[in-house]
Amino acid sequence: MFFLALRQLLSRKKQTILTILGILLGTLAYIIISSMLLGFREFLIDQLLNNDAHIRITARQDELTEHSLDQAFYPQKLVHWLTPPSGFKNSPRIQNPQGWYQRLKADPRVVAFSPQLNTQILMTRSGISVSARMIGSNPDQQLQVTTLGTYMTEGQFTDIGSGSNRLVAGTALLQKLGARVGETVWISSGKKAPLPFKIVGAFQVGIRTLDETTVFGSLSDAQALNNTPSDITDIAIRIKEVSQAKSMAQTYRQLDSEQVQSWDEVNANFLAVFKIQDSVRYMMTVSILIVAGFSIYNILNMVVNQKRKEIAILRSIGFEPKDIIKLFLIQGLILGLIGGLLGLGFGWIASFLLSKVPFPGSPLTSGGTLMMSFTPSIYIIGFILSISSSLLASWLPARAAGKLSPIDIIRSEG
Amino acid sequence: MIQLEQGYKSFSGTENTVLHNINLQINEGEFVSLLGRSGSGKSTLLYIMSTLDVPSQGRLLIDNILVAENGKLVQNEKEVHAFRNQHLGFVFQFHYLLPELTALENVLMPTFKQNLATSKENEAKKLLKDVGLEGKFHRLPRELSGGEQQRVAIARALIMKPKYLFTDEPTGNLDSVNGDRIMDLLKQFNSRYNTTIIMVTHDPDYAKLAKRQVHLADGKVVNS
Repeated sequence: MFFLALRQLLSRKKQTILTILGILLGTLAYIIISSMLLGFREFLIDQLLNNDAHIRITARQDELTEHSLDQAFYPQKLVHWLTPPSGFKNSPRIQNPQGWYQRLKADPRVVAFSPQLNTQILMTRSGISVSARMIGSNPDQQLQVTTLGTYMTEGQFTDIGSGSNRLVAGTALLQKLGARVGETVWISSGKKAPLPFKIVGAFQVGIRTLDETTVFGSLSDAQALNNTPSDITDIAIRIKEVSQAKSMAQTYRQLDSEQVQSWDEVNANFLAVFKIQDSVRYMMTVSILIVAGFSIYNILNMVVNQKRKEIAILRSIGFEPKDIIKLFLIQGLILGLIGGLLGLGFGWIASFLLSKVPFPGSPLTSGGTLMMSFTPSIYIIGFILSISSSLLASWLPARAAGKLSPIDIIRSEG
Repeated sequence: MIQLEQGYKSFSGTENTVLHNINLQINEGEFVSLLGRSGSGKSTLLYIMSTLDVPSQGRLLIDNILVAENGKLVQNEKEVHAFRNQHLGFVFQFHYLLPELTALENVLMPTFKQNLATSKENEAKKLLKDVGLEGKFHRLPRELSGGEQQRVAIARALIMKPKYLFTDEPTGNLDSVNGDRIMDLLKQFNSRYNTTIIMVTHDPDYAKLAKRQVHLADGKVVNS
């Protein structure tokens, strides 16, 4: 039947080419859309993963409630406050950092960790003030935890040094301030007089919140600025297996009172968007393939009607209904196979070319070009989709052909 | 031997009975023509005897095996298909060649079912030579004349060396020269291979070339 199916396809070249083209375009569209969306997603996840910690331990700040201070001021009495106490019980600090360091050093799943002091600051230059967040850390340790060093547009991350009032800032933040690398800005945490800091570098990660509001300085400078010597507020941890982040965070949570969050818990909203993006991508692809499938269905349906006489003779010389079904299913399969494989090939070429198209100035690109994914799963799913839609579309005409009775055809033709 | 006993045929939705109480026996090696006017039921009778159709009432036996009875196939459908492939040949008024295949491939078509195409190729070429189509093995049907196409159809019907050959107006669409040639070929195959031939025709001259004539009128056998 394969031989006859192939001959029938070759005998109607124009229809065959058009059908293959339909499947090719459907598959091509799927590959390009998926490649773009997944490429963008991989880029974003890479940034979420690598520019922040895989797991972050943050100091817990307990809020004061109405009766938090009752026992301290009026023991054994029922108190009604006219103005109830509010605010935090303490400034945020990790209570037992040494304990954490020992634990993390002993854990073989941990690659590196970086103690940090995160504090809100006000940056001032020539009368312009911008609020930002300073992350104070040991630059060498910080670079082991994140890939921030690769996103430096000017200077080196390690230029921060230790204890010499130097910082690196996001390019967007510098733009807001109108400051350049090499200049000095005044920084205040609100707890003591502003201190001068020299800008020694700039970075552009592509994540707005990071680029617009973050500066990195040394841990000791941040502690001095915050007037909290030897305090740390966070420990950023990098682990070997990213997939274990959530379960490790869960274990750490039970060890101490600090807040422990894995990267995927922090970015749960982002990840939920990816799921929606996935369903949109599949819906779009299915619609494209339905259109391609309809062209197979229409053409094969027409062919079945045109081939009634041939079906009659095949049946009368002993071919069974299942042979006739096979004849048309094989045609659908060949169309799907050729269209699908060509679609994958052209899809790969198109994705490759798109990955070279420059998008200057856009922060959401890697090296100024679109991020395209070449993950094998895109191609495997694309192939399965093209084959299954072709088989499904040819099944109905094939079944109709199999149901034709030779005697009915002969009578109607006679 | 093919036997139709008390065969009736009517079609659902119509009160018209096409065949009435047909009792007909066709012996091995016979060349029988079914003769009658248009609408006399001769083609319907042929289709019933060739298992393409079933009698509404009555029994059909082939080689003493009950094949169909009272509107149903008695034998397994798969076996009937295999039997048709191996032991029955068909030639219709319209040749029904597969237009995508060459003359040789069309002749070999029944052999594909049994995966015998390679081993039967020489036989197919010989048959095409016998029907006067030497040198036209690789022509497509559209490159052949009507008579040549019908001869390809005859070669196709004979490739599996069938015991029974059913032909429905095989000359109906041909001029007299080609018609005579087809009749000569049928006679030749009947005598050379002892193939039982049942031929429907409305042409009395061609009917006379058969060894036995069965006349039908209004769905009844009037003379056999």
